[in-house]
Amino acid sequence: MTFLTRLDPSEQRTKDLSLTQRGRAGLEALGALQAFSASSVRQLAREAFDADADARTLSDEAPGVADKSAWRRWLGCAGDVAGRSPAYRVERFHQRYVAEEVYRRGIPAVEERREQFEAFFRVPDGPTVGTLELDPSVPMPKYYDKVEWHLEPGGWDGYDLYGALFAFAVGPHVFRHGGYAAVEVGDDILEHRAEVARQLPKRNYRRVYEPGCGGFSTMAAVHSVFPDAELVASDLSPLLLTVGHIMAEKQAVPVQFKQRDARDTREPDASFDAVIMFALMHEMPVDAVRDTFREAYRILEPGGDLVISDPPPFRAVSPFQAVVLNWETRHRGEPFFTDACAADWAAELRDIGFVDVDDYSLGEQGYPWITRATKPR
Amino acid sequence: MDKTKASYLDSSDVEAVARMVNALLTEHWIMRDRLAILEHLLDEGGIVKSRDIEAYVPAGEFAEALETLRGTVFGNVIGAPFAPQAASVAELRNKRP
Repeated sequence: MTFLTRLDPSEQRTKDLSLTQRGRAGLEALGALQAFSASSVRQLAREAFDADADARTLSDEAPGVADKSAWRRWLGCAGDVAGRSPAYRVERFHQRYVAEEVYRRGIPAVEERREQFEAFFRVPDGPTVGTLELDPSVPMPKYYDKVEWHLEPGGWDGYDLYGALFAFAVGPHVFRHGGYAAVEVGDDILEHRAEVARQLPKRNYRRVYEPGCGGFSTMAAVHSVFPDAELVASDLSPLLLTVGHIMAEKQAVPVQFKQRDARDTREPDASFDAVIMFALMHEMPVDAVRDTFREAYRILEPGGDLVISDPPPFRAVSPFQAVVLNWETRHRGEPFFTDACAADWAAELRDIGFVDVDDYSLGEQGYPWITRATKPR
Repeated sequence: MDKTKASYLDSSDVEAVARMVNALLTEHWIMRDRLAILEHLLDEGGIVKSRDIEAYVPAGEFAEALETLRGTVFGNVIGAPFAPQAASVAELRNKRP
Protein backbone atom coordinates (compact mmCIF):
# COMPACT_ATOMS: atom_id res chain seq x y z
CA MET A 1 0.00 0.00 0.00
CA THR A 2 1.16 3.54 -0.64
CA PHE A 3 1.91 4.98 2.78
CA LEU A 4 2.37 8.50 3.97
CA THR A 5 3.84 8.68 7.44
CA ARG A 6 4.52 12.41 7.70
CA LEU A 7 1.91 14.97 6.82
CA ASP A 8 2.91 18.60 7.00
CA PRO A 9 0.14 20.38 8.96
CA SER A 10 0.97 23.66 7.22
CA GLU A 11 0.21 22.19 3.77
CA GLN A 12 -3.21 22.87 2.35
CA ARG A 13 -3.47 19.23 1.24
CA THR A 14 -3.20 18.08 4.86
CA LYS A 15 -6.08 20.36 5.84
CA ASP A 16 -8.17 19.38 2.82
CA LEU A 17 -7.68 15.67 3.51
CA SER A 18 -7.94 15.71 7.30
CA LEU A 19 -10.18 13.47 9.38
CA THR A 20 -12.78 14.62 11.88
CA GLN A 21 -11.43 15.31 15.35
CA ARG A 22 -12.85 12.00 16.56
CA GLY A 23 -11.42 10.07 13.64
CA ARG A 24 -7.96 11.60 13.99
CA ALA A 25 -7.73 11.40 17.78
CA GLY A 26 -8.99 7.80 17.82
CA LEU A 27 -6.23 6.71 15.44
CA GLU A 28 -3.61 8.77 17.26
CA ALA A 29 -4.64 6.92 20.41
CA LEU A 30 -3.83 3.62 18.67
CA GLY A 31 -0.46 5.04 17.63
CA ALA A 32 0.31 6.03 21.22
CA LEU A 33 -0.84 2.66 22.55
CA GLN A 34 1.37 0.77 20.11
CA ALA A 35 4.37 3.04 20.58
CA PHE A 36 4.33 2.79 24.38
CA SER A 37 3.64 -0.91 24.40
CA ALA A 38 6.26 -1.78 21.76
CA SER A 39 8.93 0.27 23.52
CA SER A 40 8.50 0.29 27.32
CA VAL A 41 6.46 -2.88 27.80
CA ARG A 42 8.40 -4.85 25.20
CA GLN A 43 11.66 -3.85 26.86
CA LEU A 44 10.39 -5.35 30.14
CA ALA A 45 9.46 -8.50 28.24
CA ARG A 46 12.91 -8.62 26.65
CA GLU A 47 14.61 -8.25 30.04
CA ALA A 48 12.44 -10.98 31.56
CA PHE A 49 13.30 -13.26 28.62
CA ASP A 50 17.02 -12.62 28.91
CA ALA A 51 16.91 -13.27 32.67
CA ASP A 52 15.22 -16.65 32.23
CA ALA A 53 17.67 -19.51 32.69
CA ASP A 54 16.09 -21.49 29.85
CA ALA A 55 16.65 -18.59 27.43
CA ARG A 56 20.39 -18.75 27.93
CA THR A 57 20.63 -22.12 26.26
CA LEU A 58 18.45 -21.10 23.33
CA SER A 59 21.17 -19.13 21.58
CA ASP A 60 23.46 -22.16 21.60
CA GLU A 61 20.72 -24.43 20.31
CA ALA A 62 19.52 -22.20 17.43
CA PRO A 63 19.40 -24.07 14.11
CA GLY A 64 22.26 -22.92 11.92
CA VAL A 65 20.73 -23.74 8.58
CA ALA A 66 17.55 -22.89 6.69
CA ASP A 67 15.74 -25.87 8.19
CA LYS A 68 12.10 -24.93 8.59
CA SER A 69 11.17 -27.80 10.89
CA ALA A 70 14.16 -27.20 13.17
CA TRP A 71 13.30 -23.53 13.43
CA ARG A 72 9.67 -24.31 14.26
CA ARG A 73 10.71 -26.58 17.13
CA TRP A 74 13.20 -24.04 18.43
CA LEU A 75 10.67 -21.20 18.14
CA GLY A 76 8.16 -23.26 20.11
CA CYS A 77 10.63 -23.48 23.01
CA ALA A 78 11.58 -19.80 22.74
CA GLY A 79 7.91 -18.79 22.60
CA ASP A 80 7.21 -20.74 25.79
CA VAL A 81 9.97 -18.84 27.58
CA ALA A 82 8.70 -15.45 26.32
CA GLY A 83 5.14 -16.35 27.31
CA ARG A 84 6.15 -16.67 30.97
CA SER A 85 6.45 -12.89 31.15
CA PRO A 86 3.28 -10.85 31.84
CA ALA A 87 4.90 -7.99 29.95
CA TYR A 88 5.25 -10.17 26.84
CA ARG A 89 1.63 -11.29 27.02
CA VAL A 90 0.35 -7.75 27.52
CA GLU A 91 2.53 -6.36 24.74
CA ARG A 92 1.38 -9.01 22.29
CA PHE A 93 -2.23 -8.35 23.26
CA HIS A 94 -1.79 -4.66 22.43
CA GLN A 95 -0.11 -5.54 19.13
CA ARG A 96 -3.09 -7.61 18.10
CA TYR A 97 -5.56 -5.06 19.40
CA VAL A 98 -4.02 -2.24 17.36
CA ALA A 99 -3.67 -4.48 14.29
CA GLU A 100 -7.43 -5.10 14.34
CA GLU A 101 -8.47 -1.66 15.48
CA VAL A 102 -6.69 0.29 12.70
CA TYR A 103 -9.45 -1.01 10.41
CA ARG A 104 -12.31 -0.91 12.90
CA ARG A 105 -11.55 2.74 13.63
CA GLY A 106 -9.82 3.67 10.41
CA ILE A 107 -12.54 2.70 7.94
CA PRO A 108 -15.32 4.60 9.77
CA ALA A 109 -12.94 7.59 10.08
CA VAL A 110 -12.35 7.58 6.32
CA GLU A 111 -16.06 7.10 5.66
CA GLU A 112 -16.83 10.31 7.57
CA ARG A 113 -14.84 12.12 4.87
CA ARG A 114 -15.64 9.84 1.90
CA GLU A 115 -16.42 12.67 -0.48
CA GLN A 116 -13.05 14.39 -0.10
CA PHE A 117 -11.13 11.11 -0.41
CA GLU A 118 -13.11 9.93 -3.44
CA ALA A 119 -12.28 13.22 -5.14
CA PHE A 120 -8.58 12.85 -4.31
CA PHE A 121 -8.29 9.19 -5.33
CA ARG A 122 -9.78 9.61 -8.79
CA VAL A 123 -7.76 8.23 -11.69
CA PRO A 124 -6.64 11.25 -13.74
CA ASP A 125 -8.49 11.51 -17.03
CA GLY A 126 -6.10 13.99 -18.64
CA PRO A 127 -2.52 13.55 -19.81
CA THR A 128 -0.33 11.62 -17.38
CA VAL A 129 3.41 11.25 -16.89
CA GLY A 130 3.11 7.53 -16.11
CA THR A 131 0.84 4.66 -17.08
CA LEU A 132 -1.53 2.19 -15.45
CA GLU A 133 -2.05 -1.16 -17.13
CA LEU A 134 -4.60 -3.41 -15.43
CA ASP A 135 -5.04 -6.92 -16.78
CA PRO A 136 -7.89 -8.94 -15.28
CA SER A 137 -6.63 -12.03 -17.11
CA VAL A 138 -3.62 -12.29 -14.77
CA PRO A 139 -4.43 -15.35 -12.63
CA MET A 140 -4.49 -14.86 -8.87
CA PRO A 141 -2.20 -17.47 -7.25
CA LYS A 142 -3.83 -19.80 -4.73
CA TYR A 143 -1.43 -18.66 -2.00
CA TYR A 144 -2.57 -15.06 -2.52
CA ASP A 145 -6.25 -15.19 -3.27
CA LYS A 146 -8.69 -14.47 -0.42
CA VAL A 147 -5.95 -13.88 2.17
CA GLU A 148 -6.70 -10.97 4.49
CA TRP A 149 -3.10 -9.74 4.60
CA HIS A 150 -2.26 -7.87 7.77
CA LEU A 151 -5.85 -8.60 8.93
CA GLU A 152 -7.15 -6.19 6.28
CA PRO A 153 -10.87 -6.91 5.89
CA GLY A 154 -11.44 -8.27 2.38
CA GLY A 155 -7.72 -8.34 1.57
CA TRP A 156 -5.79 -5.73 -0.42
CA ASP A 157 -8.76 -4.98 -2.66
CA GLY A 158 -11.46 -5.30 -0.03
CA TYR A 159 -12.27 -1.61 0.49
CA ASP A 160 -12.27 1.04 -2.23
CA LEU A 161 -10.72 3.70 0.04
CA TYR A 162 -7.82 1.67 1.44
CA GLY A 163 -5.62 4.21 -0.36
CA ALA A 164 -7.02 6.98 1.82
CA LEU A 165 -6.80 4.81 4.91
CA PHE A 166 -3.06 4.19 4.58
CA ALA A 167 -2.05 7.57 3.17
CA PHE A 168 -4.10 9.93 5.33
CA ALA A 169 -5.35 7.96 8.35
CA VAL A 170 -3.45 4.93 9.58
CA GLY A 171 -0.11 5.90 7.99
CA PRO A 172 0.38 9.33 9.55
CA HIS A 173 -1.45 8.67 12.82
CA VAL A 174 -0.47 5.08 13.72
CA PHE A 175 2.38 3.70 11.58
CA ARG A 176 4.29 6.97 11.85
CA HIS A 177 5.55 5.84 15.27
CA GLY A 178 6.78 2.39 14.16
CA GLY A 179 6.52 -0.40 16.72
CA TYR A 180 4.84 -3.14 14.67
CA ALA A 181 6.06 -6.37 13.07
CA ALA A 182 9.81 -6.02 12.38
CA VAL A 183 9.65 -2.21 12.52
CA GLU A 184 11.01 -0.73 15.74
CA VAL A 185 9.48 2.26 17.55
CA GLY A 186 10.85 5.45 16.05
CA ASP A 187 11.54 3.86 12.66
CA ASP A 188 9.86 5.24 9.57
CA ILE A 189 9.05 2.78 6.80
CA LEU A 190 9.29 5.49 4.16
CA GLU A 191 12.80 6.42 5.27
CA HIS A 192 13.61 2.70 5.22
CA ARG A 193 12.70 2.57 1.55
CA ALA A 194 15.09 5.39 0.68
CA GLU A 195 17.85 3.67 2.66
CA VAL A 196 17.17 0.45 0.80
CA ALA A 197 17.28 2.19 -2.59
CA ARG A 198 20.66 3.60 -1.62
CA GLN A 199 21.97 0.05 -1.17
CA LEU A 200 21.99 -0.35 -4.95
CA PRO A 201 25.73 -0.22 -5.57
CA LYS A 202 25.98 1.96 -8.69
CA ARG A 203 25.57 5.72 -8.88
CA ASN A 204 23.15 5.62 -11.78
CA TYR A 205 20.58 3.25 -13.19
CA ARG A 206 18.79 3.37 -16.50
CA ARG A 207 15.74 1.13 -15.84
CA VAL A 208 14.54 -0.12 -12.44
CA TYR A 209 11.85 -2.79 -11.94
CA GLU A 210 9.90 -3.49 -8.76
CA PRO A 211 7.76 -6.64 -8.57
CA GLY A 212 5.08 -6.76 -5.85
CA CYS A 213 5.29 -2.99 -5.53
CA GLY A 214 2.16 -2.58 -3.38
CA GLY A 215 1.85 0.98 -4.64
CA PHE A 216 4.14 3.96 -5.16
CA SER A 217 6.13 4.14 -1.90
CA THR A 218 9.24 2.23 -2.98
CA MET A 219 9.33 3.76 -6.44
CA ALA A 220 9.04 7.23 -4.87
CA ALA A 221 12.14 6.40 -2.84
CA VAL A 222 13.96 5.02 -5.90
CA HIS A 223 13.07 8.19 -7.81
CA SER A 224 14.47 10.34 -5.00
CA VAL A 225 17.80 8.47 -5.20
CA PHE A 226 17.93 7.88 -9.00
CA PRO A 227 15.82 10.67 -10.51
CA ASP A 228 16.78 9.80 -14.10
CA ALA A 229 15.89 6.11 -13.96
CA GLU A 230 12.88 4.78 -15.86
CA LEU A 231 10.59 3.06 -13.35
CA VAL A 232 8.39 0.01 -13.91
CA ALA A 233 6.39 -1.49 -11.04
CA SER A 234 4.01 -4.43 -10.91
CA ASP A 235 1.61 -6.07 -8.49
CA LEU A 236 -1.32 -8.48 -8.48
CA SER A 237 -3.73 -6.06 -6.82
CA PRO A 238 -5.67 -3.65 -9.06
CA LEU A 239 -6.39 -1.35 -6.12
CA LEU A 240 -2.77 -1.14 -4.98
CA LEU A 241 -1.68 -0.36 -8.54
CA THR A 242 -4.41 2.22 -9.07
CA VAL A 243 -3.62 4.02 -5.81
CA GLY A 244 0.09 3.87 -6.67
CA HIS A 245 -0.60 5.39 -10.09
CA ILE A 246 -2.71 8.20 -8.60
CA MET A 247 -0.11 9.03 -5.96
CA ALA A 248 2.73 8.98 -8.51
CA GLU A 249 0.79 11.30 -10.81
CA LYS A 250 0.11 13.71 -7.92
CA GLN A 251 3.88 14.00 -7.53
CA ALA A 252 4.50 13.99 -11.29
CA VAL A 253 6.81 10.97 -11.06
CA PRO A 254 6.61 8.83 -14.22
CA VAL A 255 6.05 5.19 -13.27
CA GLN A 256 4.66 2.40 -15.45
CA PHE A 257 2.34 0.39 -13.20
CA LYS A 258 1.39 -3.05 -14.54
CA GLN A 259 -0.79 -5.83 -13.18
CA ARG A 260 1.54 -8.82 -13.24
CA ASP A 261 2.56 -11.84 -11.21
CA ALA A 262 6.08 -11.27 -9.88
CA ARG A 263 7.03 -14.68 -11.30
CA ASP A 264 5.92 -13.75 -14.81
CA THR A 265 6.55 -10.08 -15.51
CA ARG A 266 6.32 -10.45 -19.32
CA GLU A 267 9.26 -8.07 -19.60
CA PRO A 268 11.96 -8.87 -22.20
CA ASP A 269 15.13 -10.71 -21.20
CA ALA A 270 17.96 -8.48 -19.92
CA SER A 271 15.85 -5.32 -20.08
CA PHE A 272 16.59 -3.76 -16.64
CA ASP A 273 19.80 -2.82 -14.90
CA ALA A 274 18.26 -2.95 -11.40
CA VAL A 275 15.48 -4.82 -9.61
CA ILE A 276 14.30 -3.83 -6.14
CA MET A 277 11.99 -5.79 -3.83
CA PHE A 278 10.71 -4.27 -0.61
CA ALA A 279 8.78 -6.32 1.97
CA LEU A 280 7.71 -8.82 -0.68
CA MET A 281 9.44 -12.09 0.17
CA HIS A 282 7.54 -12.71 3.41
CA GLU A 283 4.22 -12.37 1.55
CA MET A 284 4.96 -15.43 -0.62
CA PRO A 285 5.67 -19.13 -0.13
CA VAL A 286 9.36 -19.93 -0.48
CA ASP A 287 8.79 -21.70 -3.83
CA ALA A 288 7.17 -18.54 -5.22
CA VAL A 289 10.09 -16.48 -3.93
CA ARG A 290 12.53 -18.74 -5.80
CA ASP A 291 10.52 -18.30 -9.00
CA THR A 292 10.48 -14.52 -8.43
CA PHE A 293 14.27 -14.53 -8.03
CA ARG A 294 14.62 -16.50 -11.28
CA GLU A 295 12.38 -14.00 -13.04
CA ALA A 296 14.46 -11.11 -11.70
CA TYR A 297 17.58 -12.86 -12.97
CA ARG A 298 16.00 -13.23 -16.41
CA ILE A 299 14.96 -9.59 -16.82
CA LEU A 300 18.23 -8.21 -15.43
CA GLU A 301 20.92 -7.43 -17.96
CA PRO A 302 24.40 -8.89 -17.31
CA GLY A 303 25.97 -6.81 -14.54
CA GLY A 304 22.52 -5.71 -13.32
CA ASP A 305 21.88 -5.44 -9.59
CA LEU A 306 19.20 -6.83 -7.30
CA VAL A 307 18.46 -5.40 -3.86
CA ILE A 308 15.95 -6.96 -1.49
CA SER A 309 14.67 -5.73 1.86
CA ASP A 310 12.59 -8.01 4.06
CA PRO A 311 12.33 -8.96 7.73
CA PRO A 312 15.57 -10.50 8.98
CA PRO A 313 16.31 -14.22 9.15
CA PHE A 314 15.96 -15.79 12.58
CA ARG A 315 19.68 -16.60 12.50
CA ALA A 316 20.52 -12.88 12.49
CA VAL A 317 18.46 -11.75 15.49
CA SER A 318 18.27 -12.46 19.22
CA PRO A 319 16.05 -15.36 20.38
CA PHE A 320 13.57 -12.85 21.82
CA GLN A 321 13.36 -10.94 18.55
CA ALA A 322 12.88 -14.24 16.72
CA VAL A 323 9.83 -14.91 18.92
CA VAL A 324 8.46 -11.45 18.11
CA LEU A 325 8.90 -12.05 14.37
CA ASN A 326 7.44 -15.56 14.50
CA TRP A 327 4.31 -14.19 16.23
CA GLU A 328 3.34 -12.39 13.02
CA THR A 329 2.48 -15.60 11.20
CA ARG A 330 -0.44 -16.62 13.40
CA HIS A 331 -1.56 -13.25 14.62
CA ARG A 332 -1.30 -10.60 11.89
CA GLY A 333 -2.43 -12.27 8.68
CA GLU A 334 1.11 -13.17 7.61
CA PRO A 335 0.91 -16.82 6.53
CA PHE A 336 4.48 -16.97 5.19
CA PHE A 337 6.37 -14.85 7.70
CA THR A 338 7.95 -17.72 9.63
CA ASP A 339 9.03 -19.57 6.50
CA ALA A 340 10.59 -16.40 5.12
CA CYS A 341 12.54 -15.75 8.31
CA ALA A 342 13.75 -19.37 8.34
CA ALA A 343 14.96 -19.10 4.72
CA ASP A 344 18.36 -18.02 3.48
CA TRP A 345 17.75 -15.70 0.54
CA ALA A 346 21.46 -15.18 -0.09
CA ALA A 347 21.97 -18.92 -0.58
CA GLU A 348 18.93 -19.12 -2.83
CA LEU A 349 20.29 -16.30 -5.02
CA ARG A 350 23.69 -17.98 -5.34
CA ASP A 351 21.97 -21.22 -6.40
CA ILE A 352 20.22 -19.33 -9.19
CA GLY A 353 23.49 -17.89 -10.46
CA PHE A 354 23.76 -14.46 -8.89
CA VAL A 355 27.22 -13.36 -7.78
CA ASP A 356 28.60 -10.84 -5.29
CA VAL A 357 25.78 -11.79 -2.92
CA ASP A 358 25.84 -10.25 0.52
CA ASP A 359 23.33 -9.67 3.31
CA TYR A 360 23.32 -7.37 6.30
CA SER A 361 21.12 -5.28 8.57
CA LEU A 362 20.54 -1.54 8.46
CA GLY A 363 18.88 -1.44 11.90
CA GLU A 364 19.63 -2.52 15.45
CA GLN A 365 17.09 -5.35 15.58
CA GLY A 366 17.99 -6.74 12.18
CA TYR A 367 15.56 -4.63 10.17
CA PRO A 368 15.62 -3.56 7.40
CA TRP A 369 17.49 -6.72 6.35
CA ILE A 370 19.25 -6.26 3.03
CA THR A 371 20.23 -8.91 0.53
CA ARG A 372 22.14 -7.75 -2.54
CA ALA A 373 23.24 -9.62 -5.61
CA THR A 374 24.48 -9.06 -9.15
CA LYS A 375 23.85 -10.94 -12.37
CA PRO A 376 27.25 -11.99 -13.75
CA ARG A 377 28.50 -10.32 -16.91
CA MET B 1 -26.00 -20.75 46.24
CA ASP B 2 -24.87 -17.75 48.23
CA LYS B 3 -26.26 -14.83 46.19
CA THR B 4 -23.81 -12.37 47.74
CA LYS B 5 -20.92 -14.38 46.29
CA ALA B 6 -22.33 -14.94 42.82
CA SER B 7 -19.65 -14.73 40.12
CA TYR B 8 -20.38 -14.03 36.48
CA LEU B 9 -16.95 -13.85 34.87
CA ASP B 10 -14.05 -16.25 34.81
CA SER B 11 -10.41 -15.93 33.90
CA SER B 12 -11.13 -16.39 30.20
CA ASP B 13 -12.98 -13.05 30.27
CA VAL B 14 -9.80 -11.13 31.05
CA GLU B 15 -9.22 -10.63 27.32
CA ALA B 16 -12.62 -8.99 26.93
CA VAL B 17 -11.98 -6.74 29.90
CA ALA B 18 -8.60 -5.72 28.47
CA ARG B 19 -10.29 -4.82 25.18
CA MET B 20 -12.78 -2.73 27.12
CA VAL B 21 -9.93 -0.92 28.88
CA ASN B 22 -8.26 -0.12 25.57
CA ALA B 23 -11.53 1.04 24.03
CA LEU B 24 -12.29 3.16 27.07
CA LEU B 25 -8.81 4.67 27.04
CA THR B 26 -9.20 5.55 23.38
CA GLU B 27 -12.57 7.18 24.03
CA HIS B 28 -11.04 9.08 26.93
CA TRP B 29 -8.24 10.33 24.71
CA ILE B 30 -10.66 11.49 22.02
CA MET B 31 -12.40 13.63 24.62
CA ARG B 32 -9.10 14.85 26.09
CA ASP B 33 -7.87 15.81 22.62
CA ARG B 34 -11.11 17.65 21.93
CA LEU B 35 -10.82 19.55 25.19
CA ALA B 36 -7.22 20.50 24.40
CA ILE B 37 -8.21 21.83 20.98
CA LEU B 38 -11.14 23.71 22.44
CA GLU B 39 -8.88 25.36 25.03
CA HIS B 40 -6.32 26.14 22.36
CA LEU B 41 -8.86 27.76 20.05
CA LEU B 42 -10.40 29.72 22.93
CA ASP B 43 -6.95 30.99 23.88
CA GLU B 44 -6.56 32.23 20.33
CA GLY B 45 -9.70 34.28 20.87
CA GLY B 46 -13.21 34.40 19.47
CA ILE B 47 -16.17 32.11 19.61
CA VAL B 48 -15.42 28.49 18.83
CA LYS B 49 -17.88 26.48 16.80
CA SER B 50 -18.08 22.73 16.52
CA ARG B 51 -16.97 22.85 12.89
CA ASP B 52 -13.83 24.76 13.91
CA ILE B 53 -12.82 21.82 16.11
CA GLU B 54 -13.61 19.31 13.36
CA ALA B 55 -11.52 21.22 10.83
CA TYR B 56 -8.60 21.92 13.16
CA VAL B 57 -5.30 20.17 12.36
CA PRO B 58 -2.87 20.39 15.30
CA ALA B 59 0.47 21.85 14.25
CA GLY B 60 3.75 23.14 15.63
CA GLU B 61 4.29 23.42 19.38
CA PHE B 62 0.67 22.64 20.13
CA ALA B 63 0.88 19.34 18.20
CA GLU B 64 4.09 18.46 20.04
CA ALA B 65 2.54 19.24 23.44
CA LEU B 66 -0.50 17.15 22.52
CA GLU B 67 1.72 14.23 21.54
CA THR B 68 3.64 14.47 24.81
CA LEU B 69 0.40 14.53 26.79
CA ARG B 70 -0.89 11.54 24.80
CA GLY B 71 2.29 9.60 25.56
CA THR B 72 1.92 10.36 29.25
CA VAL B 73 -1.74 9.36 29.40
CA PHE B 74 -1.14 6.09 27.57
CA GLY B 75 2.01 5.38 29.55
CA ASN B 76 0.12 5.88 32.81
CA VAL B 77 -2.70 3.54 31.83
CA ILE B 78 -0.91 0.87 29.80
CA GLY B 79 2.13 0.99 32.04
CA ALA B 80 0.09 0.76 35.25
CA PRO B 81 0.52 -3.01 35.71
CA PHE B 82 4.29 -2.62 35.46
CA ALA B 83 4.76 0.54 37.51
CA PRO B 84 6.65 0.08 40.75
CA GLN B 85 4.38 -0.28 43.78
CA ALA B 86 6.52 2.17 45.73
CA ALA B 87 8.32 5.24 44.46
CA SER B 88 10.67 7.70 46.12
CA VAL B 89 9.76 11.33 46.71
CA ALA B 90 12.38 12.32 44.13
CA GLU B 91 10.78 10.06 41.51
CA LEU B 92 7.31 11.31 42.30
CA ARG B 93 8.38 14.94 42.14
CA ASN B 94 9.65 14.39 38.60
CA LYS B 95 6.55 12.55 37.47
CA ARG B 96 3.96 14.36 35.42
CA PRO B 97 0.67 14.48 37.35
